[in-house]
Amino acid sequence: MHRFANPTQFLKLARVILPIALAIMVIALLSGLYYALFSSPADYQQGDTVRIMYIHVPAAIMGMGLYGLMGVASFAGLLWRHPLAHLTAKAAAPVGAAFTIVTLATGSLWGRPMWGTWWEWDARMTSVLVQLFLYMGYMAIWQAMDDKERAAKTAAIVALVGLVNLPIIKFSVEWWNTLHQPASIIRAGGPTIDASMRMPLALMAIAAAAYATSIVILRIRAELAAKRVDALQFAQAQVGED
Amino acid sequence: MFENMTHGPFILASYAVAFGVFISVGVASWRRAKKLERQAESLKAQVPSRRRKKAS
Amino acid sequence: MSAFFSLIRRDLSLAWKHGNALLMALGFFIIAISLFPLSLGPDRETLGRVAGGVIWVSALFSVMLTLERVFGPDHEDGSLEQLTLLPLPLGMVALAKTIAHWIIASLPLVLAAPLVAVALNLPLNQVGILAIALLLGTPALSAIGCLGAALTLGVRQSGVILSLLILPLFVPILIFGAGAVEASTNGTGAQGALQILGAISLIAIVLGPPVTASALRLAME
Repeated sequence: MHRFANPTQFLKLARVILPIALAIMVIALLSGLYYALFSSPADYQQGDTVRIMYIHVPAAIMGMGLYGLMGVASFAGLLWRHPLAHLTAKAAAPVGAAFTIVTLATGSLWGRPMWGTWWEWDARMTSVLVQLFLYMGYMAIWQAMDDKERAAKTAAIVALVGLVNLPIIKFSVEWWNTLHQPASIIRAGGPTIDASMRMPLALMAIAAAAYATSIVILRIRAELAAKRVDALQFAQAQVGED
Repeated sequence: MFENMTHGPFILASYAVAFGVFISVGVASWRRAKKLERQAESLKAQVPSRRRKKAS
Repeated sequence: MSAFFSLIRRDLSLAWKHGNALLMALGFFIIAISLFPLSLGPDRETLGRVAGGVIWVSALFSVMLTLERVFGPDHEDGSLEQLTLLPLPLGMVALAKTIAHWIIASLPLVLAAPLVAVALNLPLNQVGILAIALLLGTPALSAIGCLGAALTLGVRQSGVILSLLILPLFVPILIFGAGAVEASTNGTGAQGALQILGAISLIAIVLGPPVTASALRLAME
């Protein structure tokens, strides 16, 4: 694993993975959209509105998953001072925030026709909103601090403290009797979603993961380049002084 | 296409918002990466030439 | 150990001497609460319904206002470095600071809340629940607040980013604190919420100071 800690090694790996991830994303997205919009049935209760689920659920999964990645990367950065760790967390944050925003927006657009309400302050929706605030706070720290070393460690602490929100999101629908529907995929008795809906859901989830992989790789590349630019500008200033 | 067209706008809006957000984040990330990598390349080209001038 | 208590006493006497900050936070608390009857109208029943939430939110904002003064002045005049030289682990220094902050900033609110609650027409037995809830929840506010203050120490316009950081963390305390009053109003009983509040405070007091200490070390590098 430490082989990839070297930025050059990472860039070599990224050059291979990025096109593959993009290809997977396109294939999964096109086939997923086909199934989601045309080839799968409307829900007998919800009608066609259920098709929003094919965006909402993968977005929710990725929003939480990327926060988990951010937490693990932050932990690795603090504990092992892995050079790429903090940059990975920094790269993942905007993507996770985007997924969280889409989760909230599509949830709202799904809720209005289905359950008559744009928004409810129930446990799950509130804790997903809190997840968005946590992402924003994380990104604000990088913005606000000029000392990037301190920013990295401070942001890492914030990311770790916020990890407690993830189980709250997951279990909130079980702990509190709320509006949001209870778990139907990862639950004790096995999934309760109809098989015809599992295919588009799985394809869209794969597309989301492939997208996230691609964009996070891109952003890590940007961070590494920014570091090189800083170092080179510093070296230039040094040479200029002589 | 959809049986229940009264909810069509909500479905359309959901997909539109999602694509809008993801495409903008993707494009912005790609452009930032390209810009910084170009900048790094051009800076790298400059530094050795100055070192050469200094040595002579 | 005596260093621990003298540190608390030092912060208390500093706050007493520069009494302004203390009074300002309390003043803000009362003024903020007063805005609600002015904006919602004087209907006593409405006010009684929202009193618990209004008082809790105002308490949160008042606590946030006081946080920049926890480490800020010490950092500016160099005494923060001196504190690290004490024969006291930095985590204990952070705990002392947290306790001092609670006494200075939160305790006045806990004491003032019943009076304001009655002014907002909160029924008397709910006033009692509110006071207990604030007593149980404010230590967590101080612990999390001091952590946030340490993380943003010395940052430009730290107030804004401090609020952005700790408000999400304050949310559970707010939910259970105001929820306790709500539960007592509609008869379901406040014990559950109060117990959870106590647990949150306990965890915050135990885990907060060590992380605050790390954040202080980061700030002083």
